[in-house]
Amino acid sequence: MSEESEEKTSGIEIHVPEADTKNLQIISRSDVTFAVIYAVLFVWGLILTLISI
Amino acid sequence: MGQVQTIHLGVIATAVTVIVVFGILASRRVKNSEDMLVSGRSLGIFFVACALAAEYMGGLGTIGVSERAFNEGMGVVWYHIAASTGILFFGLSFAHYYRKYGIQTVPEYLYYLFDVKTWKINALLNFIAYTFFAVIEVVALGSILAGITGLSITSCSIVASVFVTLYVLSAGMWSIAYVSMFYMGLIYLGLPLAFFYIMHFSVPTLAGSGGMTGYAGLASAMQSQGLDPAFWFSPFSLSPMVVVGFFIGGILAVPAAQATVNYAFGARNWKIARLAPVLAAFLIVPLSLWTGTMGLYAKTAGLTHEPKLALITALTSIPPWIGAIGSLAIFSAIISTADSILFAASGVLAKDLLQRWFNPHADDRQVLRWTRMSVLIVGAIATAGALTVPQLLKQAYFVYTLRAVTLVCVFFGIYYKRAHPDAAFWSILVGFIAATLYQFNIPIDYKPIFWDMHVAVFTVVIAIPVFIIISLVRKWTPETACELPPLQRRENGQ
Repeated sequence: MSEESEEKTSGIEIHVPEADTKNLQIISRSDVTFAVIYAVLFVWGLILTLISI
Repeated sequence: MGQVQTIHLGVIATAVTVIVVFGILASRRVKNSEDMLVSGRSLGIFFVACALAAEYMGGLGTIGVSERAFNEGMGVVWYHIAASTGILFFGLSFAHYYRKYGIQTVPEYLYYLFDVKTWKINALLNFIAYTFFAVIEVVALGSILAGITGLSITSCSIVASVFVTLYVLSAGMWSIAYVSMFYMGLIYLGLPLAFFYIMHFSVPTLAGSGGMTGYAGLASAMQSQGLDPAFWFSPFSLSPMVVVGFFIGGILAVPAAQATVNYAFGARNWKIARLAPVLAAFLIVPLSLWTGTMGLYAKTAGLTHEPKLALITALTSIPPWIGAIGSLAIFSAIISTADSILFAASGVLAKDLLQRWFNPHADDRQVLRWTRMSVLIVGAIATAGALTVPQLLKQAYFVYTLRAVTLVCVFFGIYYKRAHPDAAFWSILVGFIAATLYQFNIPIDYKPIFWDMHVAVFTVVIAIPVFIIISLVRKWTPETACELPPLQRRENGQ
Protein backbone atom coordinates (compact mmCIF):
# COMPACT_ATOMS: atom_id res chain seq x y z
CA MET A 1 0.00 0.00 0.00
CA SER A 2 2.79 2.43 0.85
CA GLU A 3 4.21 2.05 -2.67
CA GLU A 4 0.86 3.08 -4.12
CA SER A 5 0.61 6.02 -1.74
CA GLU A 6 4.02 7.30 -2.67
CA GLU A 7 3.19 7.00 -6.34
CA LYS A 8 -0.06 8.85 -5.91
CA THR A 9 1.50 11.75 -4.06
CA SER A 10 4.21 12.43 -6.63
CA GLY A 11 7.02 11.49 -4.29
CA ILE A 12 5.67 13.14 -1.15
CA GLU A 13 5.85 10.50 1.52
CA ILE A 14 2.72 9.59 3.41
CA HIS A 15 3.11 7.97 6.81
CA VAL A 16 0.49 5.24 6.72
CA PRO A 17 0.28 3.18 9.91
CA GLU A 18 2.71 0.31 10.15
CA ALA A 19 1.29 -3.13 9.36
CA ASP A 20 1.00 -5.26 12.46
CA THR A 21 3.66 -7.91 12.06
CA LYS A 22 3.84 -9.03 15.68
CA ASN A 23 1.60 -11.49 17.46
CA LEU A 24 0.15 -13.10 14.35
CA GLN A 25 -1.04 -16.19 16.21
CA ILE A 26 -4.57 -17.13 15.15
CA ILE A 27 -5.64 -19.21 18.15
CA SER A 28 -4.17 -18.50 21.57
CA ARG A 29 -4.61 -20.46 24.79
CA SER A 30 -7.40 -18.15 25.95
CA ASP A 31 -9.40 -19.01 22.82
CA VAL A 32 -9.66 -22.72 23.61
CA THR A 33 -12.82 -22.32 25.71
CA PHE A 34 -14.49 -20.35 22.95
CA ALA A 35 -13.35 -22.88 20.34
CA VAL A 36 -15.09 -25.61 22.33
CA ILE A 37 -18.27 -23.51 22.70
CA TYR A 38 -18.23 -22.74 18.96
CA ALA A 39 -17.74 -26.41 18.04
CA VAL A 40 -20.47 -27.61 20.44
CA LEU A 41 -22.95 -25.05 19.08
CA PHE A 42 -22.19 -25.94 15.49
CA VAL A 43 -22.45 -29.71 16.04
CA TRP A 44 -25.64 -29.27 18.10
CA GLY A 45 -27.27 -27.28 15.29
CA LEU A 46 -26.08 -29.73 12.67
CA ILE A 47 -27.28 -32.85 14.48
CA LEU A 48 -30.71 -31.43 15.35
CA THR A 49 -31.15 -30.29 11.75
CA LEU A 50 -30.12 -33.63 10.27
CA ILE A 51 -32.39 -35.72 12.50
CA SER A 52 -35.32 -33.37 11.84
CA ILE A 53 -35.45 -33.43 8.07
CA MET B 1 -51.07 -11.52 29.67
CA GLY B 2 -51.51 -15.28 29.13
CA GLN B 3 -49.38 -18.06 30.57
CA VAL B 4 -47.42 -18.56 27.31
CA GLN B 5 -46.62 -14.85 27.08
CA THR B 6 -45.60 -14.77 30.74
CA ILE B 7 -43.14 -17.63 30.20
CA HIS B 8 -41.72 -16.00 27.04
CA LEU B 9 -41.35 -12.68 28.88
CA GLY B 10 -39.79 -14.39 31.90
CA VAL B 11 -37.18 -16.15 29.75
CA ILE B 12 -36.30 -12.90 27.96
CA ALA B 13 -36.10 -11.02 31.29
CA THR B 14 -33.68 -13.66 32.59
CA ALA B 15 -31.52 -13.29 29.48
CA VAL B 16 -31.57 -9.50 29.87
CA THR B 17 -30.29 -9.90 33.44
CA VAL B 18 -27.42 -12.08 32.20
CA ILE B 19 -26.60 -9.49 29.54
CA VAL B 20 -26.46 -6.74 32.19
CA VAL B 21 -23.97 -8.89 34.15
CA PHE B 22 -21.91 -9.33 30.96
CA GLY B 23 -21.99 -5.55 30.49
CA ILE B 24 -20.73 -4.93 34.02
CA LEU B 25 -17.97 -7.53 33.60
CA ALA B 26 -16.94 -6.04 30.26
CA SER B 27 -16.80 -2.49 31.65
CA ARG B 28 -13.75 -3.46 33.76
CA ARG B 29 -11.78 -3.88 30.55
CA VAL B 30 -12.26 -0.28 29.37
CA LYS B 31 -9.32 1.91 30.31
CA ASN B 32 -9.02 4.12 27.22
CA SER B 33 -10.85 5.06 24.03
CA GLU B 34 -9.26 2.24 22.03
CA ASP B 35 -10.68 -0.28 24.53
CA MET B 36 -14.11 1.26 24.09
CA LEU B 37 -14.05 1.64 20.31
CA VAL B 38 -12.11 -1.45 19.17
CA SER B 39 -11.77 -3.65 22.29
CA GLY B 40 -8.13 -2.65 22.61
CA ARG B 41 -7.58 -4.60 19.36
CA SER B 42 -7.50 -7.85 21.28
CA LEU B 43 -10.54 -9.82 20.10
CA GLY B 44 -9.82 -13.47 19.38
CA ILE B 45 -11.07 -15.28 16.30
CA PHE B 46 -14.22 -16.70 17.94
CA PHE B 47 -15.26 -13.35 19.40
CA VAL B 48 -14.91 -11.74 15.98
CA ALA B 49 -16.70 -14.62 14.21
CA CYS B 50 -19.65 -14.61 16.64
CA ALA B 51 -19.94 -10.82 16.62
CA LEU B 52 -19.94 -10.75 12.79
CA ALA B 53 -22.49 -13.55 12.49
CA ALA B 54 -24.76 -12.15 15.20
CA GLU B 55 -24.64 -8.69 13.61
CA TYR B 56 -25.74 -10.13 10.30
CA MET B 57 -28.65 -12.21 11.69
CA GLY B 58 -31.09 -9.34 12.08
CA GLY B 59 -34.83 -9.03 11.61
CA LEU B 60 -34.61 -9.56 7.85
CA GLY B 61 -32.70 -12.81 8.33
CA THR B 62 -35.23 -14.24 10.79
CA ILE B 63 -38.75 -12.76 10.62
CA GLY B 64 -38.16 -11.59 7.00
CA VAL B 65 -36.98 -15.00 5.77
CA SER B 66 -39.86 -16.77 7.48
CA GLU B 67 -42.30 -14.29 5.92
CA ARG B 68 -40.81 -14.86 2.48
CA ALA B 69 -40.96 -18.68 2.84
CA PHE B 70 -44.62 -18.32 3.89
CA ASN B 71 -45.31 -16.44 0.63
CA GLU B 72 -42.81 -17.89 -1.85
CA GLY B 73 -41.42 -21.19 -0.57
CA MET B 74 -38.03 -22.56 0.43
CA GLY B 75 -36.12 -20.84 -2.38
CA VAL B 76 -35.44 -18.41 0.46
CA VAL B 77 -32.55 -20.63 1.63
CA TRP B 78 -30.44 -18.67 -0.86
CA TYR B 79 -30.75 -15.61 1.37
CA HIS B 80 -28.20 -16.83 3.89
CA ILE B 81 -26.07 -18.63 1.32
CA ALA B 82 -25.73 -15.22 -0.35
CA ALA B 83 -25.11 -13.53 3.01
CA SER B 84 -22.33 -16.03 3.77
CA THR B 85 -20.81 -15.37 0.36
CA GLY B 86 -20.78 -11.64 1.18
CA ILE B 87 -19.08 -12.29 4.54
CA LEU B 88 -16.48 -14.53 2.84
CA PHE B 89 -15.87 -11.87 0.19
CA PHE B 90 -15.31 -9.32 2.95
CA GLY B 91 -12.95 -11.62 4.87
CA LEU B 92 -10.82 -12.70 1.95
CA SER B 93 -10.66 -9.39 0.07
CA PHE B 94 -10.93 -6.51 2.56
CA ALA B 95 -10.73 -7.39 6.27
CA HIS B 96 -6.94 -7.72 6.49
CA TYR B 97 -6.44 -4.34 4.79
CA TYR B 98 -8.70 -2.66 7.33
CA ARG B 99 -6.91 -4.30 10.24
CA LYS B 100 -3.41 -3.64 8.91
CA TYR B 101 -4.09 0.10 8.82
CA GLY B 102 -4.86 0.17 12.55
CA ILE B 103 -7.89 2.41 12.09
CA GLN B 104 -11.18 2.61 13.97
CA THR B 105 -13.81 3.61 11.42
CA VAL B 106 -14.50 3.09 7.70
CA PRO B 107 -14.44 6.85 6.91
CA GLU B 108 -11.01 6.93 8.53
CA TYR B 109 -9.88 4.33 5.99
CA LEU B 110 -11.03 6.62 3.18
CA TYR B 111 -8.96 9.30 4.91
CA TYR B 112 -5.84 7.19 4.30
CA LEU B 113 -6.86 5.93 0.84
CA PHE B 114 -7.98 9.31 -0.50
CA ASP B 115 -8.21 12.71 1.18
CA VAL B 116 -9.89 14.93 3.72
CA LYS B 117 -13.00 15.85 1.75
CA THR B 118 -13.79 12.19 0.95
CA TRP B 119 -13.38 11.27 4.59
CA LYS B 120 -15.59 14.16 5.76
CA ILE B 121 -18.48 13.50 3.40
CA ASN B 122 -18.35 9.78 4.13
CA ALA B 123 -18.22 10.35 7.89
CA LEU B 124 -21.20 12.68 7.78
CA LEU B 125 -23.30 10.39 5.59
CA ASN B 126 -22.30 7.33 7.61
CA PHE B 127 -23.42 9.00 10.82
CA ILE B 128 -26.78 9.99 9.32
CA ALA B 129 -27.33 6.54 7.75
CA TYR B 130 -26.48 4.57 10.87
CA THR B 131 -28.53 6.82 13.12
CA PHE B 132 -31.54 6.18 10.87
CA PHE B 133 -30.78 2.50 11.08
CA ALA B 134 -30.54 2.58 14.84
CA VAL B 135 -34.12 3.91 14.82
CA ILE B 136 -35.23 1.15 12.43
CA GLU B 137 -33.63 -1.57 14.54
CA VAL B 138 -35.16 -0.23 17.75
CA VAL B 139 -38.61 -0.33 16.14
CA ALA B 140 -37.95 -3.89 14.86
CA LEU B 141 -36.87 -4.91 18.34
CA GLY B 142 -39.92 -3.23 19.89
CA SER B 143 -42.18 -5.03 17.40
CA ILE B 144 -40.77 -8.47 18.17
CA LEU B 145 -41.01 -7.83 21.92
CA ALA B 146 -44.59 -6.61 21.47
CA GLY B 147 -45.42 -9.75 19.45
CA ILE B 148 -44.00 -11.99 22.17
CA THR B 149 -45.33 -10.20 25.24
CA GLY B 150 -48.55 -8.60 24.00
CA LEU B 151 -47.43 -5.17 25.29
CA SER B 152 -47.53 -2.06 23.05
CA ILE B 153 -44.83 -1.52 20.40
CA THR B 154 -44.14 1.97 21.79
CA SER B 155 -43.35 0.83 25.32
CA CYS B 156 -41.35 -2.15 24.03
CA SER B 157 -39.33 0.15 21.71
CA ILE B 158 -38.46 2.44 24.63
CA VAL B 159 -37.40 -0.46 26.85
CA ALA B 160 -35.36 -2.02 24.01
CA SER B 161 -33.63 1.25 23.15
CA VAL B 162 -32.73 2.08 26.76
CA PHE B 163 -31.48 -1.46 27.35
CA VAL B 164 -29.24 -1.56 24.25
CA THR B 165 -27.92 1.94 24.95
CA LEU B 166 -26.99 1.05 28.52
CA TYR B 167 -24.99 -2.05 27.76
CA VAL B 168 -23.19 -0.48 24.79
CA LEU B 169 -22.45 2.49 27.05
CA SER B 170 -20.88 0.27 29.70
CA ALA B 171 -17.98 -1.01 27.58
CA GLY B 172 -18.59 -0.33 23.87
CA MET B 173 -17.15 -3.04 21.66
CA TRP B 174 -16.17 -5.16 24.65
CA SER B 175 -19.84 -5.34 25.73
CA ILE B 176 -20.92 -6.20 22.21
CA ALA B 177 -18.23 -8.87 21.86
CA TYR B 178 -19.21 -10.54 25.15
CA VAL B 179 -22.94 -10.45 24.55
CA SER B 180 -22.52 -11.56 20.92
CA MET B 181 -21.05 -14.83 22.16
CA PHE B 182 -24.08 -15.15 24.44
CA TYR B 183 -26.51 -14.21 21.65
CA MET B 184 -24.92 -16.68 19.26
CA GLY B 185 -25.31 -19.38 21.90
CA LEU B 186 -28.99 -18.51 22.29
CA ILE B 187 -29.59 -18.45 18.53
CA TYR B 188 -27.91 -21.83 18.08
CA LEU B 189 -29.64 -23.28 21.14
CA GLY B 190 -33.13 -21.93 20.43
CA LEU B 191 -33.70 -22.15 16.69
CA PRO B 192 -32.50 -25.74 16.04
CA LEU B 193 -34.41 -26.88 19.14
CA ALA B 194 -37.66 -25.25 18.01
CA PHE B 195 -37.09 -26.54 14.46
CA PHE B 196 -36.52 -30.05 15.81
CA TYR B 197 -39.65 -29.96 17.98
CA ILE B 198 -41.84 -28.70 15.15
CA MET B 199 -40.55 -31.25 12.62
CA HIS B 200 -40.59 -34.16 15.07
CA PHE B 201 -43.69 -33.54 17.20
CA SER B 202 -45.87 -30.85 15.61
CA VAL B 203 -45.78 -31.91 11.95
CA PRO B 204 -47.19 -35.43 12.62
CA THR B 205 -50.26 -33.82 14.24
CA LEU B 206 -51.12 -31.82 11.08
CA ALA B 207 -54.19 -32.92 9.13
CA GLY B 208 -53.06 -34.97 6.13
CA SER B 209 -49.54 -35.60 7.41
CA GLY B 210 -50.29 -39.30 7.91
CA GLY B 211 -48.39 -39.13 11.24
CA MET B 212 -45.08 -38.72 9.39
CA THR B 213 -42.33 -36.52 10.79
CA GLY B 214 -39.99 -34.09 9.00
CA TYR B 215 -40.36 -32.77 5.49
CA ALA B 216 -42.22 -35.94 4.38
CA GLY B 217 -45.04 -35.22 6.86
CA LEU B 218 -45.07 -31.51 6.04
CA ALA B 219 -45.22 -32.27 2.29
CA SER B 220 -48.08 -34.69 2.79
CA ALA B 221 -50.00 -32.12 4.88
CA MET B 222 -49.41 -29.43 2.25
CA GLN B 223 -50.60 -31.71 -0.54
CA SER B 224 -53.79 -32.44 1.34
CA GLN B 225 -54.45 -28.67 1.35
CA GLY B 226 -53.87 -28.34 -2.39
CA LEU B 227 -50.38 -26.83 -2.02
CA ASP B 228 -47.81 -28.40 -4.36
CA PRO B 229 -44.81 -29.50 -2.21
CA ALA B 230 -42.61 -29.80 -5.31
CA PHE B 231 -42.89 -26.00 -5.63
CA TRP B 232 -42.93 -24.99 -1.95
CA PHE B 233 -39.89 -27.10 -1.03
CA SER B 234 -37.93 -26.37 -4.19
CA PRO B 235 -34.72 -24.37 -3.69
CA PHE B 236 -35.69 -22.70 -6.97
CA SER B 237 -39.14 -21.48 -5.86
CA LEU B 238 -37.95 -17.85 -6.18
CA SER B 239 -37.20 -16.26 -9.53
CA PRO B 240 -33.51 -16.26 -10.61
CA MET B 241 -33.49 -12.44 -10.48
CA VAL B 242 -34.50 -12.49 -6.81
CA VAL B 243 -31.70 -14.96 -6.01
CA VAL B 244 -29.21 -12.86 -7.97
CA GLY B 245 -30.48 -9.87 -5.94
CA PHE B 246 -29.71 -11.77 -2.70
CA PHE B 247 -26.12 -12.33 -3.87
CA ILE B 248 -25.61 -8.75 -5.02
CA GLY B 249 -27.14 -7.51 -1.77
CA GLY B 250 -24.98 -9.87 0.30
CA ILE B 251 -21.80 -8.79 -1.42
CA LEU B 252 -22.60 -5.06 -1.34
CA ALA B 253 -23.84 -5.11 2.25
CA VAL B 254 -20.76 -6.21 4.12
CA PRO B 255 -17.30 -5.00 3.02
CA ALA B 256 -17.81 -1.29 3.70
CA ALA B 257 -20.49 -1.38 6.39
CA GLN B 258 -19.16 0.23 9.56
CA ALA B 259 -21.33 -2.00 11.79
CA THR B 260 -19.76 -5.16 10.33
CA VAL B 261 -16.25 -3.95 9.59
CA ASN B 262 -15.95 -2.74 13.21
CA TYR B 263 -15.07 -6.25 14.35
CA ALA B 264 -12.17 -6.50 11.89
CA PHE B 265 -10.78 -3.34 13.54
CA GLY B 266 -11.06 -5.02 16.93
CA ALA B 267 -9.35 -8.27 15.86
CA ARG B 268 -6.09 -9.15 17.63
CA ASN B 269 -4.23 -9.23 14.32
CA TRP B 270 -4.87 -9.10 10.59
CA LYS B 271 -4.89 -12.87 10.20
CA ILE B 272 -7.78 -13.14 12.66
CA ALA B 273 -9.58 -10.32 10.85
CA ARG B 274 -9.23 -12.31 7.64
CA LEU B 275 -10.19 -15.76 8.93
CA ALA B 276 -12.98 -14.94 11.40
CA PRO B 277 -15.45 -14.10 8.59
CA VAL B 278 -14.96 -17.65 7.26
CA LEU B 279 -16.13 -19.06 10.60
CA ALA B 280 -18.96 -16.52 10.69
CA ALA B 281 -20.11 -17.62 7.24
CA PHE B 282 -20.52 -21.21 8.51
CA LEU B 283 -22.64 -19.98 11.41
CA ILE B 284 -24.93 -17.99 9.15
CA VAL B 285 -25.65 -20.56 6.41
CA PRO B 286 -28.32 -22.76 8.09
CA LEU B 287 -30.48 -19.93 9.46
CA SER B 288 -32.84 -19.76 6.47
CA LEU B 289 -33.49 -23.47 6.64
CA TRP B 290 -34.76 -23.19 10.22
CA THR B 291 -36.75 -19.97 9.98
CA GLY B 292 -38.03 -20.65 6.44
CA THR B 293 -39.31 -24.12 7.38
CA MET B 294 -41.06 -22.72 10.47
CA GLY B 295 -42.74 -20.17 8.18
CA LEU B 296 -44.00 -22.97 5.94
CA TYR B 297 -45.19 -24.91 8.98
CA ALA B 298 -47.18 -21.87 10.16
CA LYS B 299 -48.78 -21.63 6.72
CA THR B 300 -49.66 -25.34 6.53
CA ALA B 301 -50.99 -25.45 10.10
CA GLY B 302 -53.07 -22.32 9.40
CA LEU B 303 -51.62 -20.57 12.44
CA THR B 304 -51.91 -17.11 10.85
CA HIS B 305 -52.87 -15.35 7.64
CA GLU B 306 -50.31 -12.62 8.29
CA PRO B 307 -46.92 -13.69 6.82
CA LYS B 308 -44.97 -11.34 9.13
CA LEU B 309 -46.28 -13.25 12.13
CA ALA B 310 -45.46 -16.71 10.75
CA LEU B 311 -42.32 -17.28 12.83
CA ILE B 312 -43.72 -15.91 16.08
CA THR B 313 -46.97 -17.89 15.79
CA ALA B 314 -44.99 -21.06 15.03
CA LEU B 315 -42.93 -20.49 18.17
CA THR B 316 -45.95 -19.73 20.34
CA SER B 317 -47.73 -22.88 19.07
CA ILE B 318 -45.18 -25.26 20.62
CA PRO B 319 -44.65 -25.99 24.35
CA PRO B 320 -43.97 -22.65 26.05
CA TRP B 321 -40.47 -23.40 27.34
CA ILE B 322 -39.16 -24.51 23.95
CA GLY B 323 -41.06 -21.72 22.19
CA ALA B 324 -39.68 -19.20 24.67
CA ILE B 325 -36.10 -20.25 23.94
CA GLY B 326 -36.90 -19.94 20.22
CA SER B 327 -38.34 -16.45 20.80
CA LEU B 328 -35.22 -15.59 22.76
CA ALA B 329 -33.15 -16.67 19.76
CA ILE B 330 -35.11 -14.29 17.50
CA PHE B 331 -34.78 -11.52 20.10
CA SER B 332 -31.01 -12.19 20.20
CA ALA B 333 -30.70 -12.06 16.41
CA ILE B 334 -32.40 -8.67 16.23
CA ILE B 335 -30.81 -7.06 19.29
CA SER B 336 -27.32 -8.12 18.17
CA THR B 337 -27.86 -6.14 14.97
CA ALA B 338 -29.31 -3.18 16.88
CA ASP B 339 -26.32 -2.89 19.22
CA SER B 340 -23.81 -3.03 16.34
CA ILE B 341 -25.64 -0.33 14.40
CA LEU B 342 -26.01 1.95 17.42
CA PHE B 343 -22.32 1.49 18.14
CA ALA B 344 -21.36 2.14 14.49
CA ALA B 345 -23.17 5.50 14.52
CA SER B 346 -21.63 6.39 17.89
CA GLY B 347 -18.12 5.45 16.77
CA VAL B 348 -18.31 7.64 13.66
CA LEU B 349 -19.75 10.54 15.69
CA ALA B 350 -17.06 10.32 18.38
CA LYS B 351 -14.00 9.48 16.33
CA ASP B 352 -14.58 11.12 12.95
CA LEU B 353 -16.84 14.05 13.66
CA LEU B 354 -16.08 15.13 17.23
CA GLN B 355 -12.40 14.23 17.40
CA ARG B 356 -10.77 14.29 13.97
CA TRP B 357 -13.01 16.92 12.40
CA PHE B 358 -13.73 19.36 15.23
CA ASN B 359 -10.94 18.80 17.74
CA PRO B 360 -7.96 16.78 16.47
CA HIS B 361 -5.94 17.77 19.55
CA ALA B 362 -8.29 16.14 22.05
CA ASP B 363 -6.59 13.81 24.53
CA ASP B 364 -7.66 10.21 25.02
CA ARG B 365 -9.80 10.91 28.10
CA GLN B 366 -11.81 13.40 26.09
CA VAL B 367 -12.24 10.91 23.25
CA LEU B 368 -13.42 8.26 25.71
CA ARG B 369 -15.89 10.74 27.19
CA TRP B 370 -17.10 11.73 23.72
CA THR B 371 -17.56 8.08 22.76
CA ARG B 372 -19.80 7.50 25.78
CA MET B 373 -21.63 10.75 25.08
CA SER B 374 -22.09 9.68 21.43
CA VAL B 375 -23.65 6.37 22.49
CA LEU B 376 -26.09 8.33 24.67
CA ILE B 377 -26.89 10.79 21.87
CA VAL B 378 -27.53 8.06 19.27
CA GLY B 379 -29.52 6.04 21.82
CA ALA B 380 -31.65 9.09 22.62
CA ILE B 381 -32.21 9.83 18.91
CA ALA B 382 -33.15 6.17 18.32
CA THR B 383 -35.69 6.26 21.13
CA ALA B 384 -37.16 9.57 20.05
CA GLY B 385 -37.19 8.50 16.39
CA ALA B 386 -38.93 5.23 17.17
CA LEU B 387 -41.70 7.14 18.93
CA THR B 388 -42.21 9.95 16.43
CA VAL B 389 -41.27 9.01 12.87
CA PRO B 390 -42.08 5.33 12.24
CA GLN B 391 -43.86 6.20 8.97
CA LEU B 392 -40.56 7.48 7.51
CA LEU B 393 -38.60 4.39 8.34
CA LYS B 394 -39.39 2.27 5.29
CA GLN B 395 -38.14 5.04 3.02
CA ALA B 396 -35.10 5.56 5.21
CA TYR B 397 -33.73 2.16 4.18
CA PHE B 398 -32.33 3.76 1.05
CA VAL B 399 -29.80 5.63 3.18
CA TYR B 400 -28.06 2.30 3.53
CA THR B 401 -27.06 2.54 -0.12
CA LEU B 402 -24.14 4.45 1.34
CA ARG B 403 -22.60 1.07 2.14
CA ALA B 404 -22.64 0.23 -1.57
CA VAL B 405 -21.06 3.49 -2.70
CA THR B 406 -18.45 3.31 0.08
CA LEU B 407 -17.61 -0.19 -1.10
CA VAL B 408 -16.96 1.19 -4.61
CA CYS B 409 -14.48 3.69 -3.13
CA VAL B 410 -12.73 1.18 -0.87
CA PHE B 411 -12.51 -1.40 -3.66
CA PHE B 412 -10.98 1.04 -6.15
CA GLY B 413 -8.79 2.56 -3.45
CA ILE B 414 -7.22 -0.84 -2.76
CA TYR B 415 -7.20 -2.44 -6.19
CA TYR B 416 -7.08 0.43 -8.74
CA LYS B 417 -3.77 2.26 -8.91
CA ARG B 418 -5.17 5.30 -10.70
CA ALA B 419 -7.87 5.85 -8.05
CA HIS B 420 -8.04 9.61 -7.47
CA PRO B 421 -9.40 11.42 -4.36
CA ASP B 422 -11.73 13.56 -6.48
CA ALA B 423 -13.19 10.38 -7.98
CA ALA B 424 -13.94 9.02 -4.50
CA PHE B 425 -15.55 12.27 -3.34
CA TRP B 426 -17.72 12.72 -6.42
CA SER B 427 -18.77 9.09 -6.68
CA ILE B 428 -20.03 9.26 -3.07
CA LEU B 429 -21.86 12.51 -3.71
CA VAL B 430 -23.28 11.59 -7.11
CA GLY B 431 -24.16 8.06 -5.95
CA PHE B 432 -26.00 9.40 -2.94
CA ILE B 433 -27.92 12.03 -4.94
CA ALA B 434 -28.78 9.41 -7.59
CA ALA B 435 -30.05 7.03 -4.89
CA THR B 436 -32.26 9.80 -3.45
CA LEU B 437 -33.76 10.64 -6.86
CA TYR B 438 -34.27 6.94 -7.64
CA GLN B 439 -35.86 6.10 -4.30
CA PHE B 440 -38.27 9.04 -4.26
CA ASN B 441 -39.08 9.01 -8.03
CA ILE B 442 -37.78 12.56 -8.61
CA PRO B 443 -38.80 13.76 -11.18
CA ILE B 444 -39.93 10.44 -12.76
CA ASP B 445 -40.40 6.80 -11.78
CA TYR B 446 -37.02 5.29 -12.76
CA LYS B 447 -37.71 1.73 -11.67
CA PRO B 448 -39.46 0.47 -14.85
CA ILE B 449 -36.61 2.00 -16.94
CA PHE B 450 -33.94 0.28 -14.81
CA TRP B 451 -35.59 -3.16 -14.61
CA ASP B 452 -36.89 -2.51 -11.09
CA MET B 453 -33.30 -2.57 -9.86
CA HIS B 454 -32.68 -2.39 -6.11
CA VAL B 455 -31.63 1.11 -5.11
CA ALA B 456 -28.23 -0.12 -3.80
CA VAL B 457 -27.46 -1.78 -7.15
CA PHE B 458 -28.55 1.38 -8.98
CA THR B 459 -26.18 3.41 -6.79
CA VAL B 460 -23.26 1.15 -7.69
CA VAL B 461 -24.13 1.28 -11.40
CA ILE B 462 -23.92 5.08 -11.20
CA ALA B 463 -20.90 5.31 -8.87
CA ILE B 464 -18.53 2.97 -10.78
CA PRO B 465 -18.40 4.91 -14.07
CA VAL B 466 -18.21 8.22 -12.17
CA PHE B 467 -15.21 6.90 -10.24
CA ILE B 468 -13.40 5.49 -13.29
CA ILE B 469 -13.98 8.51 -15.53
CA ILE B 470 -12.81 11.06 -12.93
CA SER B 471 -9.78 8.92 -12.07
CA LEU B 472 -8.82 8.77 -15.75
CA VAL B 473 -9.30 12.50 -16.29
CA ARG B 474 -7.73 13.87 -13.09
CA LYS B 475 -4.03 13.58 -12.39
CA TRP B 476 -2.10 13.45 -9.12
CA THR B 477 -0.31 16.73 -8.48
CA PRO B 478 1.54 18.29 -5.52
CA GLU B 479 -1.72 20.20 -4.85
CA THR B 480 -3.54 16.88 -4.49
CA ALA B 481 -0.95 15.76 -2.00
CA CYS B 482 -1.53 18.98 -0.01
CA GLU B 483 -4.98 17.65 0.76
CA LEU B 484 -3.50 15.01 2.99
CA PRO B 485 -5.34 14.46 6.26
CA PRO B 486 -4.40 16.85 9.09
CA LEU B 487 -2.44 14.30 11.12
CA GLN B 488 -0.34 13.36 8.11
CA ARG B 489 0.21 17.00 7.20
CA ARG B 490 1.61 17.62 10.64
CA GLU B 491 3.91 14.61 10.33
CA ASN B 492 5.10 15.92 6.98
CA GLY B 493 5.75 19.35 8.44
CA GLN B 494 3.28 21.03 6.08
